[in-house]
Amino acid sequence: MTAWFTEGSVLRRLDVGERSILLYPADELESGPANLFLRRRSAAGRDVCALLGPGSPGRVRLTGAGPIVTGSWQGLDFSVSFRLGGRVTAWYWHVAVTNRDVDSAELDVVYAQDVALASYVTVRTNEYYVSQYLDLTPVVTDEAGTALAVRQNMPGSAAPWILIGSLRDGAGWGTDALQITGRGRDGIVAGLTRDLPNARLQHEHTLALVQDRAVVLGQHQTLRTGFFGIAVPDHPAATSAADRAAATEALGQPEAKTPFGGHYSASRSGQAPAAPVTVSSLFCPARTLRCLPLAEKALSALAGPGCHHVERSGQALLSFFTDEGSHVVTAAKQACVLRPHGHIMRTGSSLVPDKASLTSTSWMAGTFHSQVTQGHVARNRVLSARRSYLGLKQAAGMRVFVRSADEDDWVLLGEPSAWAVDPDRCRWWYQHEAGLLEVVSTAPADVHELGLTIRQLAGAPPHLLVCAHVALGEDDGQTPEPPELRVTDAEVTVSPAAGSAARDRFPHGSFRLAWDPGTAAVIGRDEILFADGLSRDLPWVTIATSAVAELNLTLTADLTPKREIMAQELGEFPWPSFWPGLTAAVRLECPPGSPACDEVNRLDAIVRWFGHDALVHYLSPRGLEQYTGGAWGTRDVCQGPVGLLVALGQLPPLRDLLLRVLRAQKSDGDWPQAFEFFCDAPMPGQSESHGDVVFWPLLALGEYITISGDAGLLAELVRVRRQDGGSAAEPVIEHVRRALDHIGRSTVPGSPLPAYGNGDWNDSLQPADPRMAAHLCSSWTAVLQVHALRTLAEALNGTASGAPLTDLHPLAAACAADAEQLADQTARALQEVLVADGELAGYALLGADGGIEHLVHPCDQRTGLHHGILPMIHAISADLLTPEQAGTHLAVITEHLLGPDGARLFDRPAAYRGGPMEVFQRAEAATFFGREIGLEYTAAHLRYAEALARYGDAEGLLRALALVNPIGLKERVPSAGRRQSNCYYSSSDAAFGDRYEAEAHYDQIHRGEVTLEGGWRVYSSGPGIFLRLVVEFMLGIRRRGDRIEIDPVLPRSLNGLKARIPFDGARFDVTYRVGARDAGPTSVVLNGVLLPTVPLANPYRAPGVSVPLRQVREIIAAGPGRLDVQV
Amino acid sequence: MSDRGDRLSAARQDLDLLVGDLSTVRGQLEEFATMWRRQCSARNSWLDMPHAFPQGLREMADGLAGTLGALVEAGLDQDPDLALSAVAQLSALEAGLAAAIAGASRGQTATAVTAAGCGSTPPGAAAIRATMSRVRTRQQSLIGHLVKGQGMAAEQAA
Repeated sequence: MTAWFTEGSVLRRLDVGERSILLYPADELESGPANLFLRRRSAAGRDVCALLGPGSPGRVRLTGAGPIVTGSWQGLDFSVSFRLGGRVTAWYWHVAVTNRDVDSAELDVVYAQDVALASYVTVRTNEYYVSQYLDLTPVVTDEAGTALAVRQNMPGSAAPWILIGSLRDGAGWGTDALQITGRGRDGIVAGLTRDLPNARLQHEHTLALVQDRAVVLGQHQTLRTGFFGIAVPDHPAATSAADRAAATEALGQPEAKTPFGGHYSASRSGQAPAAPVTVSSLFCPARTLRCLPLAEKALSALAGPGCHHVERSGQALLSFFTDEGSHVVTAAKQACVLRPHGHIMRTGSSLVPDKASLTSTSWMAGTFHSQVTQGHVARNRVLSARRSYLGLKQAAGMRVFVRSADEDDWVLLGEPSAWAVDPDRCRWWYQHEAGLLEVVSTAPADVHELGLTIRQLAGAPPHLLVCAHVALGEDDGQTPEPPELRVTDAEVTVSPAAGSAARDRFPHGSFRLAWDPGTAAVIGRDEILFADGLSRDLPWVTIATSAVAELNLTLTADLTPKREIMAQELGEFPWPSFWPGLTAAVRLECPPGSPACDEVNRLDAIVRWFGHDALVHYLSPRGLEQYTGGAWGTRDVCQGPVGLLVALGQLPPLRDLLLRVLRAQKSDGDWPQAFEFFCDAPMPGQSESHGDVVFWPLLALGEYITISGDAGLLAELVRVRRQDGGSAAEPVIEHVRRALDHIGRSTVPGSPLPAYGNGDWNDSLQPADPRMAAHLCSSWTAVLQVHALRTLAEALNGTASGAPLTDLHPLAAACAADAEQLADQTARALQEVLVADGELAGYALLGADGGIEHLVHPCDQRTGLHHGILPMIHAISADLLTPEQAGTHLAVITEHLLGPDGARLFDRPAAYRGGPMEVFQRAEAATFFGREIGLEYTAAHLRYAEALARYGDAEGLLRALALVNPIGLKERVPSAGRRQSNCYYSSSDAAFGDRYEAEAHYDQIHRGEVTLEGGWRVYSSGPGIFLRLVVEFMLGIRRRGDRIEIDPVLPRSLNGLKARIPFDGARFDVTYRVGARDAGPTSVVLNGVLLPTVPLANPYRAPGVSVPLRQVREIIAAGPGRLDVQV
Repeated sequence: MSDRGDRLSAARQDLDLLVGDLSTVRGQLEEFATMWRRQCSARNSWLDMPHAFPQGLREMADGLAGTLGALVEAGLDQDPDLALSAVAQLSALEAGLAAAIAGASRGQTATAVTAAGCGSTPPGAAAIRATMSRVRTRQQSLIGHLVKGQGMAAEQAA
């Protein structure tokens, strides 16, 4: 075990073997959440003092055994020391407190320890994800009251475990920083003015908290206490009462005995110690600008005209949208939400990947740019990321301090009075006692340049200090590695330090911050951030100004070599200007007086934001919570971005996307789970893949050819990686052949059904027992196999007469025949093997003796799960069920799987046993009840909406789409928690404290008795799927080769609906006349011309029709097409 | 400080520590419940945990803390009504805890208690009893500081 400390005596690292105990390592500038807190208690509350780190009143002496900190606070002398265990893997903090006051003092000491128990790389990849698998369980010990055990449940080779407790008597505990900070996010110290909750919250900021039992100290009396932690490298069993033995072991070590003699306190001994006082920094403890609310009129004047979709709580204004579509948020709204408001912006206007594009994440809480990257959105990093939505670390990205002319202290711009967001800019307004300040960050489409403008709108101009945390290295700015700066009077160029790994990676790479000449006074590094004015070699660039009314900064980068940028073929976007064009490509206008008017208006408002999110997912693949990434998930990119480009009618970029996907194919015909799309020779991000992954590229390819009629793609030469590491160029149809061979090899022996392999679409359901995987079949993957192969076969058959194939035609025909044959066999087997007692099971375990055990089915005795939605909805969408079966299954969904927030994956959660897994891996190991584990996974819900469209339930379809829309959600779902209203949520997470509570009270969700929080944001294939659903399924306009399909599914209440839909580089303006039935057009009129129609096929409802593309093109050659569809 | 001031100050300090102890009990109940659930899921034959456990007892502890707060808020030399209510609530809480421990013990003794080696009472029970003993003593002290005719209330509290 190894501990590293900062000079302020907080833990920089605490590692056991290869694993980090810490979730948020400290640095010289800022403590992590780990600390010791001395609390003076009274009936009025608690005064709190952090004993370690910047801002502590202590003096630090670093010794070989660890730091010793001594100091005084509120008449209490304290001393703290650290020891590592000699014989056991343990650590100890010893604390002594003496009351110097004449009055008695009631006090206690709290130990907070953030916990990861994962490799450092994993921790720095995503702290939330690491937390989601940590089990925290109180353990009552014989010697030291209540201790807290933490087990890392994440499936892997071992289950590391620690126990944290008091050396005296643990009387209180907590498990997550959210319990302490709440949504005020005022920091740990402010949160500890309240007592610990003594309750478990398994959430995303794991923080083990133990409170020593309070004592009353008379004058000169001393409390000697402290805390221990003991680590076990592998703890296969769940935490149990037997684990109190670990406390006994830890407390039996010599290091557990108090190290303090009579002279622990400087003031007591009267000797001035040589140790320096802990140096505070601007970030720790940070003073933030105290903001006042903006009057509504003033806010409207700042944000722009119009006030739509207004959200209030009582009289308090929370948020609204302007006429121009800006989303405006007040501080009152920010204080309500679990996940603080944020926005991802990207420069550029290409619809294919662009290595020059800059991506930035901005946060309402005063982080104006962060995680700034160029090209690859995780690796090519310029500025660091904000890694905690509770603000556990403030020093990240680009922050700004202000100072008025008559003050000495810098004040941090934190939460503003209000914030407004557009696709390419964010605006902050700080109304404060001395004036009004506006900050604007931008990421324009027409130039690869990020902007930051700070403007004093009222009051005297302040001094400004802009601080940028440089993250050119691998560890997001955590390494003390000062970059090289070249300063002129108008810019500073920042390059990686000579000899650093970053310099090796970007030998000629740098970025620049530029300003109007004369506005910036002092350009520096980190020295200005410390109270003593001395640098700690941290990678910061600081720009201080004199009092200025306005400062304009731009950030440009050239991490990507110019030759690579020049070599790109980016194509052109089809709109006069990029963001207005893209976000207004699909519009809806409700018929006046319609009862569905509000819902349609909200749908119209959110479509532009989901368009933005879909583009981020496609071209800058990361999210607000999932902030690392940068690769394409094979499965994801074939759904979301394909959906986006199909909805926008953008076929050339879709072709480019497919070629990149095809280049990633492995030599065995399968695809990696994820891959780097920028590389010419993609390196797989995750070479192993789940059993369903191979089907997604084939499905997307089949769809593209069917839509575009572009058979020439099959003859395109695409590099394939051979097993020997070399590569060769082969036509796409050969890639198809290789994939089909792989599929043929991957079936359950003796059956056409696909073997489960490494998993299916639901990543949480990998079997715990590998032997089970070999005999398991996922019904959903079987459905996908049929759907993908039939789509592909149809596309290949459609190319039969296509000239571009010539020599390759026999191969295409053979592929089509093979695909069709396997699809038909699978469809039969699906009915014969996977449907039992009239219901499609989630899985079938196929015994060697021919026996079949159905899982996730009413007869399931093994998992406790009786209904699973995925195979049902996809089977309906793929026409694999009879109309009677489809109706029956939709009834099952309605009865068992529909919640107030949408369709849920299963009828109840998987079992949780403290971490050990019996049937499924992540589903049984995760401790946070959210994302897939919480069962409302929005992408799956969207596929439910698609099934409703196919089945013809127009009311249900509109309702299902509305549930995904955060605008006005509380009106639809009263139990929904407040959330950011302009972005996509990948899940709806019932706010249970832990898995046990979720299991015991799952039915509260259906009764609306538990709050439903929005899950992770933006990064998902969902927004693209949503857009395609609106365009192709609800509005029902689909291009298919030389035909256009017209197949809307609209309720009667939308009679008169008008829609704008992109088509063929132009657009349709469609008016829908909806009669008695919800689907099945009776006439289609284009610019006054009645078009000849051919009926489509649909086993469940009145089908759509198709019209000839050529005739449509002839009619609209002169301008937009006014399409009247009579349903 | 006057005697009245001292009494009130002592009562407030008692209250603060009492609320802390009741919060500790809440935490110990969480531990107790978790171990109970894990025994059930490991099929070690603990009786099924009652659906309302431990929430019902946690709410009783919260209710008692609220009453004690009101007691201090009411000041010195008050009538014994609130004190008697606190005494009754404490008794009910103790009875509920005893029943839960007994329930778990019955299930546990159906099999030989395993690795925990906890004898006939479930692990955690002793800690809850110890904390409750502290609560009872401190509550007596608090009532003694505040209530008129304290003999009766204190007697009942004892």
